[in-house]
Amino acid sequence: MSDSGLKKQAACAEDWHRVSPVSLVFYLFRFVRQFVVQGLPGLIVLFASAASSEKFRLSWAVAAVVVLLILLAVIALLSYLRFRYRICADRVVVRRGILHREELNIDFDRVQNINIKELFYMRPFGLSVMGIDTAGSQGKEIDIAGIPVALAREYRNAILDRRNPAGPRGSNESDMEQGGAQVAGPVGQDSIPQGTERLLLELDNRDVALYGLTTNFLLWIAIAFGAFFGAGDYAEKTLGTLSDRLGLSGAVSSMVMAGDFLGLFLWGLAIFLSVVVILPLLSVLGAFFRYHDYRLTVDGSNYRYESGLLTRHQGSVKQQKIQAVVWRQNAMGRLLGRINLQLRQASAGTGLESGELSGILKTMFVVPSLLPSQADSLSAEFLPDLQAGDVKWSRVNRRRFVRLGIAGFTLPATLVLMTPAILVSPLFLLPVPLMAAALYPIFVQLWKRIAYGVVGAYGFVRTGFIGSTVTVFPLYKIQRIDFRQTPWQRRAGFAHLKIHLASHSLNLPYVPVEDARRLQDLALYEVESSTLAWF
Amino acid sequence: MFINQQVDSETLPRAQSIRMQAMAPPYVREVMSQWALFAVPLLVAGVITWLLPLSPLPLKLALRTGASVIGLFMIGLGFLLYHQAKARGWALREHDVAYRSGLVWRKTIILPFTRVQHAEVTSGPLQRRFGLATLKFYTAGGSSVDLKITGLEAPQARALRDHILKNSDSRGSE
Repeated sequence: MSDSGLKKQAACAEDWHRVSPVSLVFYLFRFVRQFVVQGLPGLIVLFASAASSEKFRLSWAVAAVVVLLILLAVIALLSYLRFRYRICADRVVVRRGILHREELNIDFDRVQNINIKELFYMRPFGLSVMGIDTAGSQGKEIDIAGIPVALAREYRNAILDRRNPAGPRGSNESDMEQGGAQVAGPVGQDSIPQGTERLLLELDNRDVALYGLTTNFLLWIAIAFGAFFGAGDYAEKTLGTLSDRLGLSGAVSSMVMAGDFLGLFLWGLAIFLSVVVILPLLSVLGAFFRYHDYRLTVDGSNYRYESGLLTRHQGSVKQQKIQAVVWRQNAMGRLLGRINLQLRQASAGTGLESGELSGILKTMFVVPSLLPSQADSLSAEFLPDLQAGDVKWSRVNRRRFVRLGIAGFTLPATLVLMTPAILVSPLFLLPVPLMAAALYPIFVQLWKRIAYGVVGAYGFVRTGFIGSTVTVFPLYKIQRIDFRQTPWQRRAGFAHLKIHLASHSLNLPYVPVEDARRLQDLALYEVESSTLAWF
Repeated sequence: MFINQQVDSETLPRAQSIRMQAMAPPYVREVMSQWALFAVPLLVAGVITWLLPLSPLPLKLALRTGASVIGLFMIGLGFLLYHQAKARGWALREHDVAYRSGLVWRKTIILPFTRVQHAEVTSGPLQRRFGLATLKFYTAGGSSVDLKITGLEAPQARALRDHILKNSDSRGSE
């Protein structure tokens, strides 16, 4: 490893590049954002205590803010001055950092996806931010801010095709060096000639508006808000975490679902009572900022989208990097007959377990606002030989799912009410059966949505409450399957399955044990007999 | 379950038929010594409260009940840990490694070699005394350890790591 690494180092003839001074704005926004996000609670306390003292003068506070801004500007300037990058034959190298200086080397092979953002203040200069993501550790992603759009696109195509960007452009037949660990994609895909871009989907304003209505409101408000901040990454992440916690998560163990439902219910109530009109409006507005003029194209095996009103976003994913396709249709989407598709890629953290959803959001490729027929044909495009129409859903055990789901709520409630029931009156236990009765239809509905199936080389898992979320994944891309049983499940013949994909994990509770074992055996067979690379 | 598959799902290799191998014999001793390290002082302290002639009655009662509860808890915990250690098992197949754990919630994890990103062998001071090691495997997607096999003999853990990494490499370059 070290030997070939040294050789690689020597092979890089490319000079170091600097980015355009416009990226100063990018750094300034980033540091202000970081400062506000991390330092705000402390600042509020400081301000409150200062304001309450008698010697407080407003001019001092203003001066402090000005000094702070100057300090941040200096940091931004130093970051800009320190930043260097070069794109070698097989890797990207970046030097950055003011005090803690680092040099990051990212091999093309390890790049998961590249997003190009033309931030609104960069567009007049024809500049963009190129974000390079790897499946590796978090915080090691690279943002090259202030790079010309055309150059960024060229680099992106070269990096995703794993060819030397300095070599002859437009053809990638043989300049891809076959190193020892070079992984070939599915046969034939790399030999498709590049440069033949085909349009797959274009959205008009009506579609985007419908997407605004059929997606999570909270997320869109965050993004609309974030648009003023430049990229809106942070708001997108935080609110994304929130909204995913509230009910859009893929996890479906009954406890999690029950929690989600409660959250969803409370939020639903709050939203309904306070602003019935404004939120959907904001949501539609947010959708316009992010998905205006959405175009989905395919070039060889690279899928790309481009969208955005002020800030143009360009995302891309190679077909073999798609870990799963998620069909998402919430209650509104059902009503309007629209489905939103997500292409999931490997992420640094699966998110739900670690509570870290930023990775998921960053590596998510959304194809919004599709008619069912479009969703079908596009899915077949993303996942070769998919016959989604053939899926026959198998169900988990209804009695257990519903009973234990309800028990997850009523048992803690009973425990809490036990003390007053013993000390004061048994009447305190009355809410428990009422609660159970109220929960019953909810869990029956949740049960109706939970289903799984296998067609060809693809696995399907469905969850949801009123709407539904269907995850389709190639069986051979499964990372690991966990099989879990309680003593009661062992006796009754059920099991919990947890399917780990490189993008996220799926839970299937109360699966009949013979199904669980067959699914596990089949997945392992597919994984172990496949010669295709999963990434 | 509906399966529309070319392979005959009846002839698939069965994960159920894997014969799990118990952890190395010193593992149970290691777990129990770990338990003893903090349980024994507590139990001794508990016994002392019963031997000492404590003067005010409420204090005596409170101390002795407390000590008894803690003592029973520790003994119960020891019992649980012992059986938990005994219940653990692992197995190596041609293409994957399996690990079973849990006394009540029994869990079987099967990890195909080709999905291993990297592996590490660790051993704490107590483990080293017993010649044991923990083998950890990381897969893509998860930021935490994805498979942790505790209680392997140290040379065995290293051999297993090398074997699995070798197989994950050779498969990856095919």
